[in-house]
Amino acid sequence: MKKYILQRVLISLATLFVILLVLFILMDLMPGTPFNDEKLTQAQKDLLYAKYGLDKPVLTRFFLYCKNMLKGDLGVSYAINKNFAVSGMVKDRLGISIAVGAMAMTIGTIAGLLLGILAALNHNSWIDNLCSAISVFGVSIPSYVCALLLCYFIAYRLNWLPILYNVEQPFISLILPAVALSVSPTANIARFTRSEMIDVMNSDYILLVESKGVKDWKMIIGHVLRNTLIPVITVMGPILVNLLTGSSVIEKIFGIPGIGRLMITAIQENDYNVTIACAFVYSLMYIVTMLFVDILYGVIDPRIRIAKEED
Amino acid sequence: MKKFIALLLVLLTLVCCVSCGKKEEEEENPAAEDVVIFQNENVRKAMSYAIDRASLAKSLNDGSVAAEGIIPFKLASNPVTGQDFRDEQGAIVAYDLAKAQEAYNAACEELGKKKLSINLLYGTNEGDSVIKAAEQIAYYLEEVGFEVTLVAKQKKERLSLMDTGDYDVALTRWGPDYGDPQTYMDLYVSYNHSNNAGRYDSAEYDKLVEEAEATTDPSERWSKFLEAEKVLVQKDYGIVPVFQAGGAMIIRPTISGIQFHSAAVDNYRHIVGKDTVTLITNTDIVYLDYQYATDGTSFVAETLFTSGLTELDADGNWVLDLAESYETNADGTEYTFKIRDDANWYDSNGKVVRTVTAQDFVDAWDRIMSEELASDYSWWISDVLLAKEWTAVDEKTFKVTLEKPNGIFMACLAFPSAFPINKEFIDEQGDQYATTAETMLYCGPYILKSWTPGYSYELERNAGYYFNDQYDAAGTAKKIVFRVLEDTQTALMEYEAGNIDTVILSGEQVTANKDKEGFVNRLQGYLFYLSININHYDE
Repeated sequence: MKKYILQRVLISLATLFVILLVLFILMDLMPGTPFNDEKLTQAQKDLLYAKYGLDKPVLTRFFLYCKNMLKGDLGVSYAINKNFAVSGMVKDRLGISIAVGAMAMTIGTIAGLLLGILAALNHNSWIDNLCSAISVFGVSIPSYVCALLLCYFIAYRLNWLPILYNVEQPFISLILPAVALSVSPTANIARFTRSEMIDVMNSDYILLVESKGVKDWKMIIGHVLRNTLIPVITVMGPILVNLLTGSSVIEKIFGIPGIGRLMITAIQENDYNVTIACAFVYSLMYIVTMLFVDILYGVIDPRIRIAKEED
Repeated sequence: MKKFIALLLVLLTLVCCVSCGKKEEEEENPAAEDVVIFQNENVRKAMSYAIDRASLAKSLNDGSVAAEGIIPFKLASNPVTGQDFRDEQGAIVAYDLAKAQEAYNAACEELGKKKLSINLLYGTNEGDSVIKAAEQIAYYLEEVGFEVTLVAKQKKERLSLMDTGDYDVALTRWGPDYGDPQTYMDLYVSYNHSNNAGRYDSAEYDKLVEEAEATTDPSERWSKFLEAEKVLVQKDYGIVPVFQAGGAMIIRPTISGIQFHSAAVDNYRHIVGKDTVTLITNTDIVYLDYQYATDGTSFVAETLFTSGLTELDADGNWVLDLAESYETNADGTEYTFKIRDDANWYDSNGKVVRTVTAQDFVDAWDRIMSEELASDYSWWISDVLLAKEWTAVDEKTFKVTLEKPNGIFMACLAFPSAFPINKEFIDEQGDQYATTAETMLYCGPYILKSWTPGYSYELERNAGYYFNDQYDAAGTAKKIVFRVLEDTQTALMEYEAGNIDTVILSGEQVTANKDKEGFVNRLQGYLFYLSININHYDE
C-alpha cells in the first residue's frame, strides 16, 4: 500500500511540473501584449517590458518562476490589480469558490444518492421513470438557466434568500449558487448510483445475502451500498474538482468574487502570472483529488488494496 | 517509466500543434491580398457614403448617436462663442447610396477590378454594440458592391494587428482624454505611429494641426482644427466616423447629482437623495495609485477620495478645489496657485496626518514623469498641461510654467494625473502603497474605508474636508458603496429589490426598460470609426 501511494505521489509531481512548463510556453505564444491600452507609445511599452522582465528569454523566465513559486511567490498581477501579489489574489478567491463548491457537492451527493437509490429500489416503476427524467433534465439544463430561474423565483419573487452574494452573510447568500451548481452533479451521481445499484442488486452474492435472511435495509446499507460506491466515487472525483475550482458563470451571475471569474478575466486581460497561477491551482487540485480518490478505493474495497500490495 | 515517456510525448505533441497553429494563422492573415485598393480615394469615399449611420446608431438601442465627423458631440466649445465644435462644424459625413455607388463603380474602373473585397476587423469582447455595428457596416458596404469578410478577434489581438498593419479596415474607437479637439487631431498626423494605424499621410493635414498647436490665438487654433477635420474626413476620407457611443442606465429616481462627463472623469462627489448610495460598476478598481491608473473605474474612485487644484462642475467647467486662489502672468504662461490652509492629508480613519503643501504637487508631478514609475499618463503633464517647470515657492504656493498658453490647463488640473501626493507616506509604505484602503492617504471629500477586490469598495465622507459643511447642507450622501457586478440581469433584480441604486443596461434590457422611471441615456465620449489601412503594410 505504501509503495503504491509513493508511486502515485511521484507521478503526480512530475505531471504538475510538465503542466507548468506547457502552460508557460502556451502563454508565451499567445499574441498581443499585457499592456494593450490604445494610448501607450512604443517607448512606454518597452519600459514596461523591461520593468517586468518580459524581455528575458522564455526558459530563464520559467526557471525564475519555478524558483519563486516554490517559495510561495506567484509573481504580481500586471493588468487586473496592478502589482498585487498573485498568491494573495488567488488565496482570497479560492476560499470562496471552495466554499460554494463544497456546498454544491454536499447537496449534489446527498440528493444524487437518494435519487439514485430510490430509482434503483423501485426499478422499472413510475418512481424510477420520474427519477430518470429528473436526471436527464438536470444534466441538460445549463447551470446559468437554473441560476437565473432560482434567482428570479426564490430570491426576487418570494424573497426567501438574497439575490446576490453578500460578504456579510456568506452562508445564506451562497445557498442559491450552491443549489444551482448542484443540479448537474445531482443528476450525474443519481444516474451512476442507479445503474450501479441495479447491477449489484442482481449479482449472486446479494442473492446469497438475501437467502441468509438479512433484513432489507441492513442488506442495502451493509452490502449493496458499499459495492455501489466505488464507481460512484470515481465519478465524484472530477465533479468535485470542477465545482471547487469555481463555475465562472455562476460567479458572474451572483456577483461572487471567485477564482473562476479571476481566471477568465486574467485570460482576457492577458495577465500572464494570474492565468498560470489559476491553471496551476486547478491542476494541483485535480491531481490531489484523484490521489485522494485512489487512496479511498483502497480503503473501501479490500480487493484493490490486496491486489496492489501483491503488485 | 512508460508513463513518463507518454507524458513527454504528449508535451511534444502539444508544443508542435501550437506552433503549427500559430504559423497557419500568420499565413491566412486578416489583410486581403491587395491592400493597395485603399489608396484609391474613391474606395474610401464609397465606404463613407455607404453607411446609414442614423439607422445603425438607433438599432444599437443604447443611446448611441450617428457620428457627424471624428470629433464627438459635447467635446469642446468655441473659445469665443461657446458653441460646441460639432454643432459649429456640422455634419461632414453623409449617407448617400447613389454617391457611394458612383464612387464604387469609379474605383472598380480605376483599379481594373470587377469586385472589391474588404476584411473588416472588429473586437469580440468590446461590447455588444461593436459586434452589432460591425455586422451592420458589413451589410451597408455589401449593398454598394463590396465583398466583406468579417474578421472577429479579441481586443488585444485586434490592437496588435492594427499595430503591425496586418488589417484592411478595422472598427476601432477613441475616447477623449480631455475636452479639446487636439485629443483627436493628434491621432492622425503622419508621424504618429502609435495611433495612426492606417498611416493616413497628408502634408496639408499635418500642417494645419501643427499650426493649430503652435498658435497662441485660441480663435485661430479653433478654426485650424475645424479646417483640419474637414481635410481628414470630408476631403480625403482618411477615416470613416461611424457612431458615438451611448450608455443606457437606470438611476433610482430618488437620487440625483451624478455628473457624467464624456471627456473627463465622471464626478460622483455630489450625489444627493440617500444617506447610503449603492452604485453598480462592471469593472473593479485596477489601481488605487492615481499616478499609475489608466481605467475609468479607478479614476472615478480616485476623484472621490483625492482632490486636485480644480474640480469640474456639472457643466464641465472648472472650479477651484485645493487651490484657494490663483494668478497668471500677462501672456498666460505662468500660473501661481495658493493652496488652501485647511487642506490636509487624512488616513483611512479620518485622522489628520499633515497639511497639503505645494511640495506635494512638485513631488507628484516629478513622480508621474519619472522613468521608474513608467506611468501610462506621464504625458498628461507634458503634453496636455504643457507644463515645463513646476516649483514650490513656499509651503502653500505652487508655481507652474507652461511651454505656451494653454486654454485647457485649468480644466485638466481636475484629472487624477495632476493630483498631489504625500511622498513620505509613499516611501514609508514601499511596495505596500496603494494596495489597501489603509495604505493610502486622502485629501478629498470621501475616504476609502474598504476594498474587497472583485467584490466591492466603500467610501465614507471625510468630516475634515474643507467643503464638508456645504456637502452636509446639500444633503450629499454620507456613504457610497460600489458593488462589482458583471451580470446585468441579476443586477436588475437587485435594483428592483432596492439593494442597489443604479444599473447599467445592455442589449434587450435597454428596449425592455426604456420607459422605466429613472432610465437615462448618457452620451459617452467614445467615437467609433473605421480605420482604413492606407499606407501601413510595408514597414
